[in-house]
Amino acid sequence: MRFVGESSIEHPIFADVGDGVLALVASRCPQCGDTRLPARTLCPNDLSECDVVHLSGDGVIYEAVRISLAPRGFDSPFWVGYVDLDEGVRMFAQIEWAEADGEPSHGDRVVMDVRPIGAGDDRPYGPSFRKVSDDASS
Amino acid sequence: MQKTYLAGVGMTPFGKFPQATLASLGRQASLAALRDAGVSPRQVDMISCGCARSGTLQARESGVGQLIGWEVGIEGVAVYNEKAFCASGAMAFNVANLAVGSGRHDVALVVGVEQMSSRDGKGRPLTSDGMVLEGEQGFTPPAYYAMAARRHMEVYGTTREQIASVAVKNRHAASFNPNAQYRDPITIEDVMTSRPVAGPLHLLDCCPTGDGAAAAVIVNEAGAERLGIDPTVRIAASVVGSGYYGDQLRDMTSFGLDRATASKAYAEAGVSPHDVDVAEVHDSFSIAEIIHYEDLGFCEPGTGGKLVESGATSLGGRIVVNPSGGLLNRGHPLGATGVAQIVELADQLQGRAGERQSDHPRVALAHISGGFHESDFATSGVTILTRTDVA
Repeated sequence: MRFVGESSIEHPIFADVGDGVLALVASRCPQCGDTRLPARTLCPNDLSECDVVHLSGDGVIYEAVRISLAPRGFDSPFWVGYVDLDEGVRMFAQIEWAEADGEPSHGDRVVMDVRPIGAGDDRPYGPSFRKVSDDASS
Repeated sequence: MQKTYLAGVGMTPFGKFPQATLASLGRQASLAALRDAGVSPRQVDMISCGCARSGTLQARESGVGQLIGWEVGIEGVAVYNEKAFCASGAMAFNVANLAVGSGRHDVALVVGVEQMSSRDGKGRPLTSDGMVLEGEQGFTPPAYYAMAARRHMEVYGTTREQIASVAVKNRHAASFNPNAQYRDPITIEDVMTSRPVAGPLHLLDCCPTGDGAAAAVIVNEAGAERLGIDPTVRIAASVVGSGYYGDQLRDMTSFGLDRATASKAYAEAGVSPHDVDVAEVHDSFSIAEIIHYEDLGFCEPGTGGKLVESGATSLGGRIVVNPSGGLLNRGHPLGATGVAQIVELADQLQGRAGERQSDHPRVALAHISGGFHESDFATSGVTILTRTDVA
């Protein structure tokens, strides 16, 4: 199993927190609290060494769009968007949407899954957000 | 800083020329600019070259400026190579302007060039340089602008037709530009029924990739005197800046980085947005032009859709935007674009833009965005040109 960003960025975006559960890995500045994903080594505000923290994967969609003309390595259509996580981090990710839920839009509450991203045989696993069902949110 | 001037400009046609090379394109544009300035290659004392993706696309990572200098017989001079995404040409222009303004050099050749049509993966959106993690998850530049479009539509009520009308307006202007990649007139319906790309944006909302080069000669007063020329276009401001990453939850209906570079450029030039007669802006996607109107101060936030609809930014309007056809139609060979904007504005200010000539413009503005970084842009550049007879 390999993950998006594994060979391209300094800090992996997932950590195994036990029982096969994967959490998002971010950095948090011990001085000012600035939280970033992917994790930073030093805080951009005060150059403090950041702590590693795990994020919930819960948030709301800032905006999302359906991609009809796919880049290489992807089959269209698929949805992508910016998700504002509850910890104050905005992240770009894929969005998995049931047709019955209409179109993803600004303010929709979402949770994260980890699933294969893109097309082909050797797909990396990556974050994917889905709508919080009405049952779960009540 | 000394005053700096545009002594000459030139460019190749933009389009798909798979046989053309960085060397042949750069040579053609450079010689056209030198000829326009009445400058011989041996009178040039520095070269500044913008080329964004030569390594990935052409297996030539370094030294594109040296290559072009060699092609046109310039030797023994300082050569700077700038890689700043879509703003590479604007960055090269900025560096040359700094060097000539400082008096370190007197006559600079700026050249922007890109060869994209022979690239691998043709026909699919170009992946975005530096957006590695996002790219692995399907990020494309049109997806980014499509999200901005959806925000602008929801927050301000901007309509799909207003967004499409940017592409129609710029195509109309391009129909008068022999160097433009796409010149056949289109309608709003053509845009809206073209192939869907991302969110509300369709193929005709998106700039093409292509090949081309553009060049300019910058001089200071010593340079002009040495060459025996009397340039009529002054470089009143050239400002570049990197992104702001403090606020992650940024509002995508406005690009704050552009507001910052524009405000610095207006201050440097001593003009206001209302003084601008003609502008070339980074319409990589139709919605972008609407947002740029607002960030550059041509209209109030949220009213960009109404501005394009009113015809104020069309040929003959109050503030003509993208008379060249813009990135959407003149084309967008990345590194060449920032300099091609200067070529168009120099032609406009000198009254030699043919059927797309604006009415006696005195103040012209070029704006470009370059690259993405952490959901903001990586670079923004704003240049302001004025006629020397404007106080």
